[in-house]
Amino acid sequence: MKVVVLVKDVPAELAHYTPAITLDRSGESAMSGVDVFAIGEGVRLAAADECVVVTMGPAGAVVTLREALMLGATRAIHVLDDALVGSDALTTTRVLAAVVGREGADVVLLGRESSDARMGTLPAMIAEVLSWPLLSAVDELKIGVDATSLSARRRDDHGTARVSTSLPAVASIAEYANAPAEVATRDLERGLTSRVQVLTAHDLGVTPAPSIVRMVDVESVERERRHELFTGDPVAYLESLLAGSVAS
Amino acid sequence: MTSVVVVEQASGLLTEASIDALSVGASLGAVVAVSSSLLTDASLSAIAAWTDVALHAELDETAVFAAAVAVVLVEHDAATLVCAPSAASREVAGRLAVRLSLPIISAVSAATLNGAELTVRTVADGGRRAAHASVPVGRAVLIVQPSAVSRDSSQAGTRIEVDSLPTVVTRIRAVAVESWAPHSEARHAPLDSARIVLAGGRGLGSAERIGALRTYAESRGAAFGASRAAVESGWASYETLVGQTGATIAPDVYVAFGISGAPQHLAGFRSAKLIVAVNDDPTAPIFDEADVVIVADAREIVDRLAAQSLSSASSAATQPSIAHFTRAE
Repeated sequence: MKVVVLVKDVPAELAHYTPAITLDRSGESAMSGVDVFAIGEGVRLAAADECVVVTMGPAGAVVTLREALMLGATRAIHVLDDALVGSDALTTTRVLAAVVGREGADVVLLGRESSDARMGTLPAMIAEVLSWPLLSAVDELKIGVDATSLSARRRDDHGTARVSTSLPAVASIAEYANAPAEVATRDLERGLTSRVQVLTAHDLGVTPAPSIVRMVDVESVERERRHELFTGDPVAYLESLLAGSVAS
Repeated sequence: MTSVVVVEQASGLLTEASIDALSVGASLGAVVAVSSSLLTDASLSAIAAWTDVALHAELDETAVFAAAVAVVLVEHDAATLVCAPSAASREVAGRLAVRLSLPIISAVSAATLNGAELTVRTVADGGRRAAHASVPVGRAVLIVQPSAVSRDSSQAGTRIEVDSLPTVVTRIRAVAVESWAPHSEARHAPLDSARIVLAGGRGLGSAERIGALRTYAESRGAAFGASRAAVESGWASYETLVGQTGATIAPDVYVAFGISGAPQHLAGFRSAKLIVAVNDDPTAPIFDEADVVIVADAREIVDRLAAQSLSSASSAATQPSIAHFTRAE
C-alpha cells in the first residue's frame, strides 16, 4: 500500500501578525498538531511499501519533514518555491495534488485541519482535484482484506459512524487516531541525515497565483477579565449564580 | 446578491451553527437553503425566518451533495456559499471551491457587501482578535464560526417553498456508511446554545466526580463541558469536549472546575460573558482568563454542590466578598 501523507509546518506560536497584516512566519515553526496522527496511520498502512511525506512551505519547513522521517516515513518531498509564498488554498491544492499524481498513491492522508489556519477544507479540495472519495475526520483506519478498500470510524457531536470506500482514496485524520510511537534510533538517524527532495511549482507544472483574498485589518477583541479573588463560600455563590440571582 | 446556505439537522432540528450560517447569508441578500437530509417541519419553520426558498434531498454521499449544491449556485447565480464547520459541510465547501474556483474564508463571524466587494470579519488568534478580509470580486465560500455570529433580527417568515435538490451524477466513487450509532448520553442542554456551562477537568480526579458535576449541571438546567484532559482520561465523552478541537461556545456563564487552562481549551470559551474558575493551584493559567477566581479544591466544591442538588432548596446566597486577584508567578 503506497501512502502519501501531506503535512504542514506552522508557526510554533500561534498567529502573529506583522505590521503589514500578513502572518509572521519568521519565528520558530513546528509540525501542525494533528499531522502526527496522520503520519502514524500512514506508516502503519504502508507497512512494507513506501510512506512518502510531502509539504509545501518555506525553507524552515524541512524540520517538519525530518520529524516525519523520524516518525517512520520512508521519504520526504519539499515543495519550496518563493513564487508560492502567499498562495491561496486553490494553488496549494493544485501543487499538492500534482505531487500525489507524480508519486502515484493508493491512499493520501492529511490532518483533519491545520492548527494555524484551521480551515479543514484541504482534504476535500485534494480529493476533488483527484476525483477521489474522501473519508473525512476519521480514525481507526483499516485496509480491506483484498487491499482494494479502506474503512474507518468517524466520531462527531452526534454519534459514531463506520464508513468505507474503494481505493485510491483520501482520508483526513482526527486527533488521537493512534498513540504516538517512540522514535526508533535508526529512524532518528535517518530523519537527521536523509536527503529531502526539493520541487518547485515549475517542476510540478503549476502556475503560482496570488490569493484574491486581502487582509485589510486586524483588531484586538480581547475581553478585559476582572480577576477578582472570591473569598466567600464558593458553594453558595455558585448555587446563586445558577439560580440566576447573581448578575453576570 | 444571492447566497446558498448549507443547513444541517440533528434529531430533527436545525443546528445552531446552521442558523448562524443563515444569518451570515441573509446579511448579504437573498438566501437559498440547501440540505442533504429531508427538512422537518420544525426546521422549515426555523429556516422561514431567514428565507422562503429551501431545497432538500436524502443524500448520504457528500460528494454528490456537493455536486448538487454547485448546480444550485450556478442556477441561482449565487455569489457565495455559506456553511457550518462540520466535517460534512467542510467537504462540501472544499469540493465546491475547486469546482467553481472560489476562495474559502473560514471562522467567519460577519459578512457585508459594498457594491461587488465582499468584506468578511473572522475570528483569529483563538478568539483574541478579529481579522477583516476583503474579496474584491465578491464571490467566495464562507465557513462560519459557531457562536461568534451576532444574528441579525430576522423577518418573521411564515411561508416557505421547499423543493428537491437537482439530481446529479459524479464520477467520484461512493463512500458507504456501514453503521451509525448516536451517542448514548443525550444532552439535556446542548453545549452550543446553553446559557450556563459547568466544565470539569483533570483536577476533579475521577470519572465519578465528573459524572456528579454533569448530573448537578443538568439538575440546574446548565450544560456540562469537559477539558481535553478529562476526555483523554476517559472520564467524559468526546461530544462534551470544549476547546479548539471540540465545541467553541459563548455562554453567559462558564464555570471551570479543576481545569488548568491549556491554550487549546481557552480558545473554546473565550467569548463567554462571565468566566468563573475553581482551582486549588493559584498559579493555574485559567485564572488569567477568569472574572471570578476561586482558589479552592475543585473536588470538594463539586462534592458539596452534588450534595446540594439532592437537597430540595438551595440556601439564600451569601453576599460574595471580592478583592482584586493577581496570579502568583
